[in-house]
Amino acid sequence: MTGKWKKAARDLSIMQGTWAAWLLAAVLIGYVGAHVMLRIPALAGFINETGLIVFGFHELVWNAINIFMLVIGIMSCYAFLEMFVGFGVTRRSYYKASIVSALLLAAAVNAAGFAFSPLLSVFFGLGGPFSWGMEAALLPAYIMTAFIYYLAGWIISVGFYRWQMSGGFIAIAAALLMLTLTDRFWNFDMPVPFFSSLMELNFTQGAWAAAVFSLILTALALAVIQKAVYDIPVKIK
Amino acid sequence: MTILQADNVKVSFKREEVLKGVSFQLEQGNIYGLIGRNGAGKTTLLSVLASYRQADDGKVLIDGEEPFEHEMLMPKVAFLYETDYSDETETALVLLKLAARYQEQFDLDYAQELAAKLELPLDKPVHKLSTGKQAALNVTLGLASRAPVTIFDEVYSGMDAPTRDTFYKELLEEQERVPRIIILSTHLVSEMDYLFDHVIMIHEGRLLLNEPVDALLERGFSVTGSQEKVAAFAAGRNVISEQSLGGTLSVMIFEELT
Repeated sequence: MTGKWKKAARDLSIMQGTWAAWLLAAVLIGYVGAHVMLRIPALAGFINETGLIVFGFHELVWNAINIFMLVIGIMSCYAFLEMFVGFGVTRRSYYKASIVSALLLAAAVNAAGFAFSPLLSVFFGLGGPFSWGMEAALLPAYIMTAFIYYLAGWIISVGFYRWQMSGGFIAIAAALLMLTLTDRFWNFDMPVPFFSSLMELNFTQGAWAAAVFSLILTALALAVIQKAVYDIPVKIK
Repeated sequence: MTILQADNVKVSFKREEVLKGVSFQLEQGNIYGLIGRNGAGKTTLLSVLASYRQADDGKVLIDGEEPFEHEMLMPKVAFLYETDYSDETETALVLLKLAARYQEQFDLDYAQELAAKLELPLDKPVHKLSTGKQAALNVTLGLASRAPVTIFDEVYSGMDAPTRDTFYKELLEEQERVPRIIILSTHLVSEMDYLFDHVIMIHEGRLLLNEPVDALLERGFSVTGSQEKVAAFAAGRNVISEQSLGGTLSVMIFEELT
């Protein structure tokens, strides 16, 4: 019985992993397709304008996976909380299972992107030279960021599910702030729709400071979600 | 023997008190009919029993322990209601298998057998099933769960009459095979009353009645006959309804026939 969260984590990983595999395949097809089109003179100008080819494969995957993690976080309460509680799984087990499966997913997809990059670079000459050292050093940061995107989505999910519009909009603001601060600390320069004034800030103190900040932010977000989820009423619809 | 106890359960939504201190005790081996008008608080009560929400005050106990967030007790309650399956892209078979993974008592072979009886296609995505077939899926999930506390909240409304009839027969047979606490919340009282061992009636968040069906039936009777004779018999008695057609009068009297 005590292993229920493990079962739930396994099922969540398989479900979300299947979706992620489709996403990876789509990104791979798009990426290879863009490079093929680049060799067609009539299309080369357009492809150059999209900027797709300046990215290495892993960078492209990383951008896509962050959005994917945000989306599955937003779906969490609506798709999984109801299902698990309906099958008699406690909210605590759902909470643990969601964390473990999201971490595994963030690691697996980033690792897959990381594995494909040298293959495409070395064997097919796509995406420019590949630096194992630099990519490997950044991998934990990529995983951590993807997980923070999941937490941001989960906060939005909990906000709307538990407190409807009022909680939902506050949660959106909190999630955007979380993502913007993460971006500033890591200096990833990702597009940020709000809090643009924060883009002027530069917290960059090195990777360790950014990692410590990310861990604190993660702990805070997990504490807030835990508090909201442990006695959350499940809707009957 | 499983005992489910509600002790002074209160639930409020914002300022509205939906359950105003409901208490009762349910015992394994009985089918309970939960009856009440729309908005009486039936679904709220059931969602508290199923740990879908916590009571604001009072307690729910299963065998003396609170089931809310109890790893062992939560799977002992199966709660089936009219579910919105419009986003459910998995097949019915996947959902049955998932239920079997989490509910220890779930019998997957029986679920598949029952699905065949109810003509429920197991290989189609659930969102593509008709309302009736989705209701059949809920009924299958509930009966095959073999959970010591099995709750059906109006799940049968979408099913056609022959399928409902199959469900009623199966419910009685299943209760013989694996006796449990079964709660049926319904508006189809006249169609389902023969299933009930016990009736619980709530009105405006309060428990109005909690009695075995036999005792309840003894508390009232109806008389039909010529207008004059029936009117004379009913005079001075507690008449709760009457209907007349031509020279015939039918009255329902709420008191014991002596």
